[in-house]
Amino acid sequence: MTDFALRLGGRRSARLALESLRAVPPSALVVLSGLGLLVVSAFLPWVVLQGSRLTANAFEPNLPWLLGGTDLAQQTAGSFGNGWILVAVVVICGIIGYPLLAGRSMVAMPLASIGAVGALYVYFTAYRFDNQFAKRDLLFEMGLGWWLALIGSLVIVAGGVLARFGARVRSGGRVMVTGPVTLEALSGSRDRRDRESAVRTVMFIAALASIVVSALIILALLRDALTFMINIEWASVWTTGWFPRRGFYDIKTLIVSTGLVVGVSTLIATPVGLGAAVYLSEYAKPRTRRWMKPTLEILAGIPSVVFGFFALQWISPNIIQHIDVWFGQDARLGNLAAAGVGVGILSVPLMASISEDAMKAVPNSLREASAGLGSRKVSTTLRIVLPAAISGLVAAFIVTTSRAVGETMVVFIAGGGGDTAVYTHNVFDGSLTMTAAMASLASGTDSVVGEGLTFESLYFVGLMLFVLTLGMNLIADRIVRRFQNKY
Amino acid sequence: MRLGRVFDDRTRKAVTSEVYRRSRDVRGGVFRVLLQIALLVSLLVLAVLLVDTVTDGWSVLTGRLGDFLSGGLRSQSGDPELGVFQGIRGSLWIAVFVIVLAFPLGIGAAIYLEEYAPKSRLTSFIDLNIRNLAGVPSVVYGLLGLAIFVRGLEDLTGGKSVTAAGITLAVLVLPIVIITSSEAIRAVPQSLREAGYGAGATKWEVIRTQILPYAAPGILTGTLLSLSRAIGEAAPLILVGAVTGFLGGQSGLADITQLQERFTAMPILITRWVQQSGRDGGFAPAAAAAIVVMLVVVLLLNSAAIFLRNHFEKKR
Repeated sequence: MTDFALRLGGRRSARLALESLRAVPPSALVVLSGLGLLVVSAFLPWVVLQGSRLTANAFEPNLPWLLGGTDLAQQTAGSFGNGWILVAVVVICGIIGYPLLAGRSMVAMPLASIGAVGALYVYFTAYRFDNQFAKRDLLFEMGLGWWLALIGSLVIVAGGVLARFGARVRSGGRVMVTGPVTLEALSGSRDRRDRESAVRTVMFIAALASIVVSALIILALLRDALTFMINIEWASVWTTGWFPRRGFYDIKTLIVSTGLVVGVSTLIATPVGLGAAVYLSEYAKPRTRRWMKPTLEILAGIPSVVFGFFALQWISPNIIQHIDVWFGQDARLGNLAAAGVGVGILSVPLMASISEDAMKAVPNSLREASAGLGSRKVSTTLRIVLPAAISGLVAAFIVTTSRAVGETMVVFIAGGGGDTAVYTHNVFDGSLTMTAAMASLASGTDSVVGEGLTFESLYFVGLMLFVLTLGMNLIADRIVRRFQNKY
Repeated sequence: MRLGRVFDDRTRKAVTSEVYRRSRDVRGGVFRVLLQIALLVSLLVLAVLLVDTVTDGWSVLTGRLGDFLSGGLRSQSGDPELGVFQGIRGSLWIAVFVIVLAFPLGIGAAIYLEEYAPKSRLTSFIDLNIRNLAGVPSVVYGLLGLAIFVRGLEDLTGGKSVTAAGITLAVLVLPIVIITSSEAIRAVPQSLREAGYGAGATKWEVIRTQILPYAAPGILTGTLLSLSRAIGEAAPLILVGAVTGFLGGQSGLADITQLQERFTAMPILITRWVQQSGRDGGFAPAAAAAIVVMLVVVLLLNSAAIFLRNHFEKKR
């Protein structure tokens, strides 16, 4: 019958047991094991609670750092301090159970996830109960949890094993066409077809998640932004400054300072990024490229908070506060120019990588034809490659600008705006951009409070930002698409 | 030698020297130097940034590294218990959420788009939608998190908790995971698929046994990059309500009970300390030291991703 049965030595009882498995639909086994996982994960917390009570004193002195400092070990010793045991148990269960289940069927994966989520949820509620009532009074006594967990884990392992061997048995006895070829024989195994459609459905749902996210973003933005737009007195949107907690929402303050920051950042990112891209694409030897590109990528990977710190602590005192006298200004430490320079540096790798891709897409035959006609490298680059890649370069410029518009942390940290800002068009002043205004509205106090529509103003600014960047990205996307079809 | 008669020696010399002359391509030289300056500027900035940060944080990093790693948010920079432990814990849990939520969803979506999706309007809409999502500013994701995960699903997430923050950041990196995984799957040679089908495998069997193993390094690169992005991202966390002041009730690094409680994270901590440094200068070194701690993790993740990609690109 099957190779597996043969390996068992062909013993009659084993053969019979395996034979009987064929009667059980595999999906049932998988559902069973998924349910087992659910049960285990739901009751694991109690098991762990018990375990942590017993081991608390043994473990904590050894791991004071992991548990949050020695003085905290005292506080947690009596309560639920050893969550890491739970994590370890869940991880081990996952390592054992997941391949058994997930490899078999797509039904098990969602079930296992539900199990995990359920476990977390129950864990929370258990903990809350634990704080409020005496543990012994609860319905779930320690003993019950133990037994359920034990049974559940047995079910998991059994289900996984059965599903595995059952599938092997079935696929082993499957493709034997004796007699005439019927449609049924050709259409293959039902399990396989079921699995195919299940997989497809799950993947499709995953793909739909992105649409759900977009819909939620638009919904969230629109709901509160509309409230703002309906209830606002429009006079307060065109005043002398941004004082959201006092009811003055001057939009032009935010837009002008956003423009200033983006302008400064473009002045830096475009020449430096484009220059680096041209050098990497046209001039650099392969060996230079091999270490230059990763270095640029490292720059791209540095979080924006770090650039905020750098802009405030280094760029501002060492550069901006020296050149401000040229313009007859006296900049404070936090100012829009420093923030703009920071955003510019942050955008260089983005600009460089998109423009380099655009230039790489220009076919070599154009360069060779140009060289064959006797033009120098510089002429080839400036007159052939750059014009051929122009649409990609424009797209790179737009994407970089859109990124600069949406950049928050650098401007929030180094832009010199407090909670409020007075209108300014001086780049050496401190002010709030759209993003920084949102960040400062949301931070500081526990929640966004203030006169009337303060909270909704957050969403109004967010909606403006969203529409602006979306528009830019759509244009860039269209340009890139057209350009891709060109060669 | 009629030519010799037509061209005299002087002409011949002029032509030869013109042909063998070292070209004095001034414009080209200047252009090249300008390009090199552009590249050097960006590298120099990277160097200055790293050196400046490390020197600023040096006193903290060498003087009290142990206390710094285990301490918490404090209102005075001189406090001996000032440290980043709570930030590390928050960032760790955010990373866990990203791994659990964004990775399976993103890779699943990429598989659907590359392997299953028919050429339909819906497919191209999903495609466009994902590319647009990748360009949405991170603050806007913060607004999403605030409206949906903090306020809408308060019962589940516990309001301004690390759970809400983790879900928000998972959503934020989802498009990045999808795009990078799609690219990795697209790079799998068609012949592998055809061989699989020829051997009688179904679509999912081909995906599971041929395509995913082949695309694994590329997918891993994308996931590592998005993980480092999630760890360094601060703007959405501010909106979701990360704690910037005092955060009480320290619990262990892996204690699940704090998932529904208020939280903070490394980038938030840094932001806070940089802002406080104007009032209390002692926070500047602390911020720099915290940056170093975060950068070690982020740059390790990034370099691992870059190395992986280069290594496997070369191999194929």
